[in-house]
Amino acid sequence: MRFSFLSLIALCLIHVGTAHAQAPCTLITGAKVVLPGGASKVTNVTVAGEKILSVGQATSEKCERINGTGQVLAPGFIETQSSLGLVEVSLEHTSVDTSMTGKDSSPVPIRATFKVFEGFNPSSSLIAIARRHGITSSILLPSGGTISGQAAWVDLQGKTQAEAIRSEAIAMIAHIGQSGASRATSLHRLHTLFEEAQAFDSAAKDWKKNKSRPFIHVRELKAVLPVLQGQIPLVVSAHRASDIERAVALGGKFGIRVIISGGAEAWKLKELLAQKNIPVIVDPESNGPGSFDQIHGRADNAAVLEKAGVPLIISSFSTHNARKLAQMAGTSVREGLGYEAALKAITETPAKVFGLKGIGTIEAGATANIVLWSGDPLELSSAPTKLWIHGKLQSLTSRQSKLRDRYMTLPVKR
Amino acid sequence: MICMNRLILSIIPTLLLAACAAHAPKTAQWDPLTVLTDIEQKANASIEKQAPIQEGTVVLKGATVMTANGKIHNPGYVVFTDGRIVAVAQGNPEPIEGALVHDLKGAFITPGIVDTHSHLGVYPSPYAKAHSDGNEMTAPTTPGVWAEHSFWPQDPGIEKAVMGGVTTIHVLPGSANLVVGRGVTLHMVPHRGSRAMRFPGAPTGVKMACGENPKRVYGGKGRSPATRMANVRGYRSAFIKAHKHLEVMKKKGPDTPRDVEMETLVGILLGKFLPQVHCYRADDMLAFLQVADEFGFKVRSFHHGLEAYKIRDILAEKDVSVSTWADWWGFKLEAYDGIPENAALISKAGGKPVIHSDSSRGIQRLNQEAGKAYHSGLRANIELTENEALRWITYNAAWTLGIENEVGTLEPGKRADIVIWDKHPFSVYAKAQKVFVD
Repeated sequence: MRFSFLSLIALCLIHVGTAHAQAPCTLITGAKVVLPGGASKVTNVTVAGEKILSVGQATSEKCERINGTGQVLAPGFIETQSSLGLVEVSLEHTSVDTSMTGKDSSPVPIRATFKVFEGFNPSSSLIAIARRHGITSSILLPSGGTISGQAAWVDLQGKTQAEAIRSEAIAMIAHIGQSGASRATSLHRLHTLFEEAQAFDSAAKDWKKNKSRPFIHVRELKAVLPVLQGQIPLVVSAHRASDIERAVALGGKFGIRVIISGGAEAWKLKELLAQKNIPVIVDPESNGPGSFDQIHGRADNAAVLEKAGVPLIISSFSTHNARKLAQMAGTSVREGLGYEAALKAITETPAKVFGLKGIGTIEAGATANIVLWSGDPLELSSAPTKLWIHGKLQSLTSRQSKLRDRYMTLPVKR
Repeated sequence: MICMNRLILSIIPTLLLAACAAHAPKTAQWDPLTVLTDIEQKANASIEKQAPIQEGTVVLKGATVMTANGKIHNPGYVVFTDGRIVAVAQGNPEPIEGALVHDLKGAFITPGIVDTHSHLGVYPSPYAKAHSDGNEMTAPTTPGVWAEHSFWPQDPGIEKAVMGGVTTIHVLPGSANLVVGRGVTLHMVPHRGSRAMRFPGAPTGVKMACGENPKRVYGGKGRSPATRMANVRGYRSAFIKAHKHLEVMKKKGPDTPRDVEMETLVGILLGKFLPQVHCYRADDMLAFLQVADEFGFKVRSFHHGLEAYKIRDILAEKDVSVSTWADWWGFKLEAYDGIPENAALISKAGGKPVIHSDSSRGIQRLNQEAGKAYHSGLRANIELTENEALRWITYNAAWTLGIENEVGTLEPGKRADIVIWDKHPFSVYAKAQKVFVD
């Protein structure tokens, strides 16, 4: 059964004013439900409007019933390192909007004002393709430069930007290491940026008068204030242990919440990262010396970090194939990560770390971004059978499934 | 016909010529295949010896044996002696004196995985400009280059691939050129040089490329090809030259002036070398098949054939395999119509899909990739068997490389290239426990 958002609202309106106002609701019975913490048990889940109304209670008969017996109900997966809706075809620059520098602008290293959400295309074919594999939310990444710009948070629903975009600025993105500039140059730029932003923040009036000093443009300084004030984190992509060490030091010096992205050698600093509670977004495929930055990459990086108490996020580090997120979590389990920890690393932890309010868990009051899977969500044989975002049942067809159907029967050969 | 045989070149030509006089054309012709084979033998002689085989008898029993040859034995066993399989069957084997026995309850046994598309060694890890030896981007037609001469045998990716159950790889040059050069099939036993890793008796592959890459690389330099039509002109002019060279070989035999480029193309025309053609779009494949028909050779496999599902009937009929990924797509426009059911649809149409890696990462989990492609097919209600899907990374891949009589299935007589998995190989949690090569 599929009902439109409008009819939901209409139904809500009808019920308003009655003594026992009951929002239209969906009751999912018999499914093995992935609960906060990652453990699962068979129980009922009721969705009303955009939210999960209850977990574990049998509810009103007025609810539409969905029999989930033999299936798994999991929170929608969150991909934290993709550019869904910003790229249609990677090599066609007219369809790529991840970076401040297009064909017509010169590269600048500090792009804190760059807001990637502006270019988000809710009609991108990639969105439905990712959704078919259980992804319901994504952090959209800007790319390039030392500071790439502001990442956005989208839920993978709707025909308009307004429906999809949950936050226009959920994090600031930075790079140390292999990004064109030398390491020391990247770090010098970052230190200068935050020092000047601090100075600007504490003496904005004086600053305005001092027009002779060469400093980073005020717009850029203003743009990083939310980072300095702890409102949004700074995601630093770094693989080499020494780069990660520098990123941690940068965070300490300026009181910035740092998240390490990539972190192939993060396992070497597990105690430091655990002690400072610095989350790491791991690419389970970075299991070897793919580059000089990743010389000491290992397959059990995720498992080692999690065991040490480092907040762990798993990512596909892919846009077109964001759908392999579950496969990557499963691969981490193969390499020693606990099953529950792997589920948390693509649901609860990214939500917590990035401050994606209301998503990432199945509990009363949470936003109903939930997925009913035919089996173990991390296993290759499983796929979503139903998927809700904001309580609304989503289509599981995509441009690819339509192409498949179109060519299921071939034209008669002449 | 003995007259067309290499014996013409032997020490008793007079006698043979006399014997053949009745059939011989007025101007005696040489057998170009013989001429080429002689050249090849000299060029391919290795300084290092091949790795020794595993001596003695090994018995693997108690596991689920997935033969990739139609049968799945549970429990089943595999016995191999001196590097060759001697028995594969259901149940438990009779005790063999002196044999090394592995009791593998709960495990799965498959043939070693064969990857038809790897750049290990030519684009080794860690990425380094100094080691980027896969694309000779200086001219669009470079059939004279051989991937084995770029192959760096210390690539740490080799060991990682073996850990993923891969026992044979085809290493190709890149895809910047129309005719890129020769690929080499290697057995995954590390050596100090590529030559000693050559899979014994495997035919040479020749990498060619359709579509965007050549036209982007050369068009970007203001050179030809800048369009798909110039791509096709490029193949055709190369093969017209090759035909001329072939005519010279027929006339002059061993006295034919050597030509490093033409010798590779002649190998294709003679059916000795296997064309491995990078081609994404269905219509690009059709255009290439037209070139192959014009010059009388057979394409062995289209690599990255993401749109093969659209022409799967034609590919099945022409017996061209399709080396593809489980789900890569969209990184360029010719990859935009890729679908996860590609392999399943080709398989169902009677074709030969292969899941290849083209990646030092993907090669470590080809079992997962085949599993994904298999389950994508099942979910679309395409009838498939596990055996069939296993062939996408074993038998079909071996066929693509012309070594299907040596590896690719678990059958008596074949090389003992075998993987033991702790779980079903199509599970995301499966890990290769032991990998045997020979």
